[in-house]
Amino acid sequence: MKKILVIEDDMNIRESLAELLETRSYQIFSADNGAAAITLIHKHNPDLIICDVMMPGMSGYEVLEIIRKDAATATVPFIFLSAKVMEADREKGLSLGANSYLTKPFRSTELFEVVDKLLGKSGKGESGGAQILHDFISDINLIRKLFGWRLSLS
Amino acid sequence: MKFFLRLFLKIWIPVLIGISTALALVLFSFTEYEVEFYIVLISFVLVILIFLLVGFLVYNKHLIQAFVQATEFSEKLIQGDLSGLLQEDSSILPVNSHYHALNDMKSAFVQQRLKNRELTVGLEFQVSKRTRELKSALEKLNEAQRIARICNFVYWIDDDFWEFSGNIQQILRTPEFHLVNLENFLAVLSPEARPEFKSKILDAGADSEGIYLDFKLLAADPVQVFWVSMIAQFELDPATGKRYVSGAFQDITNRKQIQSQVDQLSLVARLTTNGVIITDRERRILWVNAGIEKMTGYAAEELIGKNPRIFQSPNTNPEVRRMISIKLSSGENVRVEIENVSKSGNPYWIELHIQPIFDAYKNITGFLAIQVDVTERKIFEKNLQEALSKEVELNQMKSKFINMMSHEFRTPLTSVQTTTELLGFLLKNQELKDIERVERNLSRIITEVDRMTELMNDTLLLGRMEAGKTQFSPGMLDLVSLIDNLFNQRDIFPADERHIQVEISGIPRMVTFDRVMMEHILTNLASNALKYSKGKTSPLLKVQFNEDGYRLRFIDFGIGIPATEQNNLFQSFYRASNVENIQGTGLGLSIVKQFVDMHQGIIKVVSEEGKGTEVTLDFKYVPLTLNGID
Repeated sequence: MKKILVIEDDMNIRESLAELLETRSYQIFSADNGAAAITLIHKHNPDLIICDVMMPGMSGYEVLEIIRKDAATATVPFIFLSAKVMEADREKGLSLGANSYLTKPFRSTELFEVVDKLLGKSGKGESGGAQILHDFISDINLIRKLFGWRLSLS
Repeated sequence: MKFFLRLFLKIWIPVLIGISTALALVLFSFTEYEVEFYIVLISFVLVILIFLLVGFLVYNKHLIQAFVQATEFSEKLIQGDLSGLLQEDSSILPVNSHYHALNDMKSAFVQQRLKNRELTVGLEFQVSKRTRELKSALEKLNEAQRIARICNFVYWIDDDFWEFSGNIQQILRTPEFHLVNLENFLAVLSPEARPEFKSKILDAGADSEGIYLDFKLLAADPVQVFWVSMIAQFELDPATGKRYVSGAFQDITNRKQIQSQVDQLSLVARLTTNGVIITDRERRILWVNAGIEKMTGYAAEELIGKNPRIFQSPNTNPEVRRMISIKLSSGENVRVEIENVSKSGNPYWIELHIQPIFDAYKNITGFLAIQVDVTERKIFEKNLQEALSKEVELNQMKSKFINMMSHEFRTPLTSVQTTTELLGFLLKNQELKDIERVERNLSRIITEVDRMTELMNDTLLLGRMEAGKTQFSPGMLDLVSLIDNLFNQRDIFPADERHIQVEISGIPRMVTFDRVMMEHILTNLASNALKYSKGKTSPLLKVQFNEDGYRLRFIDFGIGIPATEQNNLFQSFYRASNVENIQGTGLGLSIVKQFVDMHQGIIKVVSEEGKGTEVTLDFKYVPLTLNGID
């Protein structure tokens, strides 16, 4: 099962978002601030991160910067979920290396589409050789830290 | 010596007689004999004769000398050589009354000759000088006539005949041979000038003082009008008794043109509502028009001789004054807008144009200043500027507000959206049996809708307050129970697990406040204290009932407010720089401040960044009146 980390300071959004994604058979971890999120990332090695921008303490931008700097997490797909809707905000988010920038409020279909795309899912459940291979590789990647080597699809 | 000689010459005869007599008497007394008496007498006579002879010789010698000199004089006189004659010293000549007479005559003669000679020479000189003068005067007269465009004339009334001396064609634009009689002359004049001219010439009499008339010529071209001035005098010819008028015509077309321009200009200067000032070179006022009197409140006579500096006000920019001074000294034009002050002290704005006035040699002889009152325009500009900057400020606030509102509404909307969709999925997958889960989600929606409602209310409240429409209705109420109710309900701040720690000191009593407003004040400050101190010690609310009033202190241990930004806290939509990631509208404190003001309370904020914030509210105990707080 794919692991998604949700970082959001507003409890209601955080919880409803988690429940919503759970209906799609993802395993959800959540954090209400950046610092807690970084710990969770290293602990659970998520396949995707969904992150708010405006949070007390560390902002979403800062979280992304830290993730992208760390070789272990540099390539993890990252989605911003923000109430900042100006074009400049979107550009800033994407330029920092986010894979997508969703504005609040959003439709679940919109979110699922992006999530599925980034996780290479067809949207009709987990099936097919590609998915098995992908899962296999990600499992191996999980172990790579222990042995210090990496495998990739090429 | 000369004196004795002269004395001797005058008295020698009586002396000789006296001496001879004395001698004869002496001799006579010594002799007693007649014979001897005769001898004595004869010798006495002999002595006298000898004396006479000697005297004559001496006399003759001088006489001869005198004649010799007289001859020399006459010779010199004849030759016309006067040198030395007047200096001739008569004392060396023999003393003789005849000689003196002669000498006097000679002197008079010489002087007369001299005078005559002088007169003759002077006369000759003067005659030639006069001649030359007259010649040149005549030339000058002709020249002057030509330059001044003057022509002298004589009109013989009885003969009806004109005589001109000078170039009449130059003046009347008609050849002289066309101007024989009065009728010819009148034909040259413009029709309206003819009757007056005719009557002035013909009605002139011996008793008339003089004839003065400016008249127009008949215009060949309506644009080009020629003017002629006549100055004349009626005369009678003493020899024949004929009447005539003698005088001069002058072409004054140029003068008339300039005059009419000057008339028009001075009319403009006098009648314009703008101020006009003429000063001399030292910038002393020579003339002002009525516009200046009206604008400055000074009468013209108060201003004459003063420097226009008296119009300037203390507000007049010194840079501008200096610039004016420098430009004028170098003969440049000046155009500035400055603030002046009237006699009564009213400031007014003028647009000032100053131009130097030059003489024919390009020397500055004075200055011409024109003042246009632009006070109204300036006020208008100022108002416009103010309105504009207010508009800009308002626009900025508006766009900031819209941004903020959009952002503030997005968070609850997201919750509602997500939760609703989640419920939809549950419904679709027939998982609604999990009642607890459904209820949790429904309450989430309600909380978020409440949050939006609150936000909306805040906004409306502020809008109403800014429009002055908030109803202030205080009552004698129990503050302690209000605080209890508010802060013991945990779910007022669902996002935080901490409580506000309430401490009450002094003797609680009923106080006067508006319930709704006080609730708002307390909730807002408590929510701030929690919001900006997440993860820190719980905030405190200390309530103190004192002698003459009560004090509320909200103390938190959160992020604090940067010192430089504490002054802006009560401004609508203002948020400190360190709260970027904490939600808020920037409306809360602004509303709180206005509510506190309505209660005639005082709100103070003391804060240190990173350590915490303390908000203190002080209220006085006030009696309740019908209209609210007294």
